[in-house]
Parts: sequence; structure tokens; C-alpha cells
Amino acid sequence: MPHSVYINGSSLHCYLGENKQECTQQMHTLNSSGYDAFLRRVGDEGGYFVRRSYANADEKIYRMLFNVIDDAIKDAGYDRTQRKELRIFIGSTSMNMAQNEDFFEHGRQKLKNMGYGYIADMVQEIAGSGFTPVVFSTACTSSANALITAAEMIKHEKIDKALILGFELYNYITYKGFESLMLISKSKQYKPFDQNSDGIILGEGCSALVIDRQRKSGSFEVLGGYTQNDTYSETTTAPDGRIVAQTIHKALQNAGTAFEDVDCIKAHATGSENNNRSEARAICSVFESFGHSCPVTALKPLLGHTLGASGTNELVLMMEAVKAGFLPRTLGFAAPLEGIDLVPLQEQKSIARATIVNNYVGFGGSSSSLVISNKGV
Amino acid sequence: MYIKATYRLQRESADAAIYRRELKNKTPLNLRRSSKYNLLAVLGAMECISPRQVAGRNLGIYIATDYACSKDVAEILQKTDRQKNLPIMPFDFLNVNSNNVSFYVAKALDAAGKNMVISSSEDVSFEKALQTAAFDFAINRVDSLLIGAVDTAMEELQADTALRNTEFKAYDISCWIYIDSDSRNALGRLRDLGEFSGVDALAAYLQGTNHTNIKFNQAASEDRALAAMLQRELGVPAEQKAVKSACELVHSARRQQSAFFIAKAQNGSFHCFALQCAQEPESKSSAL
Repeated sequence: MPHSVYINGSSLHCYLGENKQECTQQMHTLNSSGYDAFLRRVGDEGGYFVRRSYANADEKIYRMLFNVIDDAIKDAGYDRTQRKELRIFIGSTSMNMAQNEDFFEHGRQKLKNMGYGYIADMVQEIAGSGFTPVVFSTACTSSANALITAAEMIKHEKIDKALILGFELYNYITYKGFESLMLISKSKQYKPFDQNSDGIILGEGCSALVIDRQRKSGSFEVLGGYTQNDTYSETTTAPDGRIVAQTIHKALQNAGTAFEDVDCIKAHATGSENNNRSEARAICSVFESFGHSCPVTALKPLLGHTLGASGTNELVLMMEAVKAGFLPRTLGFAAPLEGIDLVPLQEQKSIARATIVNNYVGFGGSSSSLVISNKGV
Repeated sequence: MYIKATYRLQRESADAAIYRRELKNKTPLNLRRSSKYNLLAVLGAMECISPRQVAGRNLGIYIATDYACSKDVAEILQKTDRQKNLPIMPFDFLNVNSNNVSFYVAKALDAAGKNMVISSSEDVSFEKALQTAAFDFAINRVDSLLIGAVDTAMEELQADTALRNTEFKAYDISCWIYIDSDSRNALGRLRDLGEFSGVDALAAYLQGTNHTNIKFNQAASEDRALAAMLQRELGVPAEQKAVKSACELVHSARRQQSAFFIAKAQNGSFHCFALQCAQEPESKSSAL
């Protein structure tokens, strides 16, 4: 009999704030007013970048990692012995890119470090774990896949407890790379699933989750997830949305969740033309197959596209919103895509508990879906 | 987990054009502007297995890398200038997205299923990829596995933090194994994958086992406490040479030689797995 898996600790540092309380408060406020001013500020700053200044990328990486890891572990209430038992799963696309850029630029003309081991070792040391981290690099599904794998391992008694880290910092190469692929929004306004959407606005952020077999009061349960790829393109999933829809179906199946119990789909909704269309088609096809719909929301207008970290970053935001009693509305949406009847949540919706499908897609045809719930509390 | 096919490339640093030429007749995939790292991966995978062999299978592709696209990152940084707001070309950007490499392999093999790039502390990325893949296999998430270890030579790359794994930094590496659950015609069987937080935990596990042909990564080969423990528990000689585990695994499987692999990570934890070859008797070690 597979074990249940609970999210007993979480933390988040992103554009909205330096901890999940600040982020939730800001999200709540923006859901009612102030979005225009918020957007102007994002536009002026060029993206959703964390607001604290750091002396250099080294300090920024260490401080952000230390704070989110420590916050999540404290949130879970773990002592030193329990920290030592944590298995570590990291999801990121750029990992140490910001650090290498910074180091290279300051006259040294060499990298700070090679590969991902440096960050993996740092995370292990901060967490106080006795085990070696595993780093998932699956584009924008990276930290979602880290969580899905860790949760499955607990479910099947392979491990007892885990720390999952999503981590993405601004770096020039990624920003200019997205620009060269013409994926960056020129209007500087996030408009997920909107017919006037003109692209992505990048963000940076870092979040951590502590998951365990033992439930802490009020925690969400990871019911199940699924991940797969298509081979359509290195920069997107297939435009028909078939693989994305199939991933949602398989995640629900794996979670043992009936679609009528789902209260909300948190869409990936990057704002790029292809993702808007393929994911919207996929969600509509899921609705069609079950004969009814549910609210759909998108969080990137709040924290930007945090790439490989979006899995855990957006999961923390969704959990905190529900714990605070609401489903967040999709900011920036005005009119649906032509020929696709998908209208995301327009008003914040009160809710006491929820079962949420969290959807993620990414470069390389990567598609992941994850079902969580706090209904069984 | 039966190993059905292998490929091993461990060669002194060569130009991308050489690998591009070797790939030319193996795949219609357009890799004209792909990095050496991507070329090495696709070449290795295609040499290990053909699209026909994986057609219709739910294949999991796991690419282990210690250094990923570090060389390509350095090359971009060399030619770009943040202050001047110079652009990054699309293919330069795609070549530093390490996650794309597993897409190219899947595309070349026309493989449905899941694919991913796995990394970890230096010189244990392959062991971590094995653990992840073995787990997906054990819960039937995939029905066959293609696991590769891919890294380009790092000897010319300058970094502030020195590499720990110095013995293999001059080599381009692309080593692959293809695994399924059918024992027929297998080169060997992978088993006993484990991770131990220190030498005492590893010693406790090894008590009562009879592993003899032990292979070490560089850090494990330099660990005196480990050597003393192995001499005590298994009678293994103290002097050991370091191997690159993925390459050595392929080598041993081809020679039908059972082996037990121990890799030490930076934090002092140990990662192990056993290769049990077809004609040899069952290992006495207990499954983890």
C-alpha cells in the first residue's frame, strides 16, 4: 500500500517578497487592486527580479538558498537529526549561470565553477543532509519533476523525507536568449491565455518544500503526478496540446483523483504564443473529456516566469492562497484566444480547502502535472 | 535491470566537427549548429541503440553530466558584453540549455516517454542518474532505460574552483547502457544500487557480501578509511586506481566481468551499484 506524502514545510523568495507570508499578502492585495502600478514597476525594472540588493552573485546565491532552505526546514519543524535524513532534489535551468557571468565579467575571464556540483554541494551543506543532492534539468518542469520524483520515492518507501528546491536567478544569457527566440513580451504586460498576449516576462525566485510521510496539521498532500515529453521542438510542446492533456489525465489517474473533485487547475501559462494555445487547447480537451470544467488560474503575472523554479515557486503560492482562503484570479487577462474557449479565473474566489492540478510545460517538449490537496485534513 | 546494449566513447578531446562527421549518416536530425556536448550525446545514444529497437517502448532517457555546458557558457561569455547589451544568438542559447540534450537524443531515437538531464555533486552524477532511472523502472513508470554519461573534456577550461575529478578531465565521454526487464541475451544485470551517508554505513552493508572486483571513482580511490575498511571487510587490496564509473561499467559488461562500483561524493557519502554478469553466479549481496 503506497504511503501518503505531505508537504510539511515550504518557503518562497521571489519578486513578491522574501518569505511566503509577504508573498501571500502581496498576492492578496494585487488580486483586488494596484495591478497597474505593480506592472509599471515590473516594466521599469525589466522583469520580476528580487528586490533585495546583494554585493555580488555569490552572496545572492548563498543568501537566497540559505534563507529558503532554512525557512522550509524550520516550517516543517525538523531537528538536526531529521535534517540529516533529508534527501535533496533540486530543479533549475540556469543553476550557477548568474554566478559564472558575474565572476567572468569582473575581469577574471574565467568561470567561478564548472557544472552543477558546486551548488548541489552548497545546498546539501546548508540543509545539513547526510545525502547527496540530485539535480533535475528538464527546462521549466525541473523543480516540478524534482517534486514528482521525490514524492513517488516516499510513496513507494524508497526514502522517508525530502527537501525539494526550485532555484532560478536572473542571468544575462538566459534573458538575451529568450529575447533572441522572440519570446520576451514587448508590451511588458503579462497576459496569459489572452488574445493580445505578446510573450513572457522573466522572473527570478527560489523556493523549497519539505515532504514527509507524517502529516503536519494543515499541510497539503501530494496525491500524485506525471511527467513525459514529446519530440516536437526543443523550445516548446506540440501545438495541438495532446501531450499536455494526456499528462493531466495520467497525473489524475496516478493521484487517484476524480476530475469532479478538482477545484482548480493552476496552468503553466507562460504567455508565449505557442504555450498559450497548446496549453489552452489541452485544458479545454480535458474539460471536454470529463464533460465539465473547473476554475483555471495562472500565477506568472504575479511573479514572472521563474523557469525551472516555477514548479515549486507556483506550488507554494497556490498552497498559501488556499490556506489564506482564496483561489487567486488571473491578472492581465481580458479576452480569450481566438477559437479557444478558455477564460481563466477573473475574480478571486473564496475557498476553504482545495484539490489543485498544477500544470507545467517547458522546452524540449517537457510536460508535467501534479495533483495536491488539503481536503483530507 | 538487464543490460542489453552498451556504447563507450572515452577519447582525448576532439573537435566538434569530428563528432558531427561521425553522426552524419546515423541520424537525419539537423545538428549543424549543435554544440559538441549535444553531438557527443546523440552520437553515443545512436551507437548504443537504434530507433527501431526502441519503437513502441515507453523509454526513459536519463543523461548524467558533471559539467554540462560549462564550456559553451564560457565561450558565450568570451564573446558577449553585458555592458554593451550585445545579443545572444538563438543557437548559442539553445546550446547552453543543458536540458535540451535529452530532447535531441529522444528526437534522434524518435522516443516517446520521458527524458531528462541529471546532475549532482561532481563525479557521482552517473550514480544519481542510475538511482533515478532504476526507481522509475521499479515502479513501472517506464519499461526500458537508456542511461548515458556525457561530458566534454574540461582540461582547457579555466575556473576559480578547481575540478576534483582531475584524472578524466582531458577526455570527451559519452558512455551509454540500454536496459530492459528481459534477461535473454543480456550482457549483465544491474543491482544493489545504494547510497550510504558514510564509511561506517557502507561497511555495515558490505558485511557478509563477497564483492571482489571493486571499482572506485577518484575520490573513493583516494579515501584511506574506505581502503582500510574494504581490506578488513572484503580483503580488497588497499591500492586502487580510479575509474569513470559509466565507462568502466560498459567495459566490464562487454567483458562479462561482474564488478561492484563505489563512488564517493564531496560530502563523504558513498554511492554503489553492482554489475552481475550473466554467466557468473548470483552475488551474495542482499538487494537494497
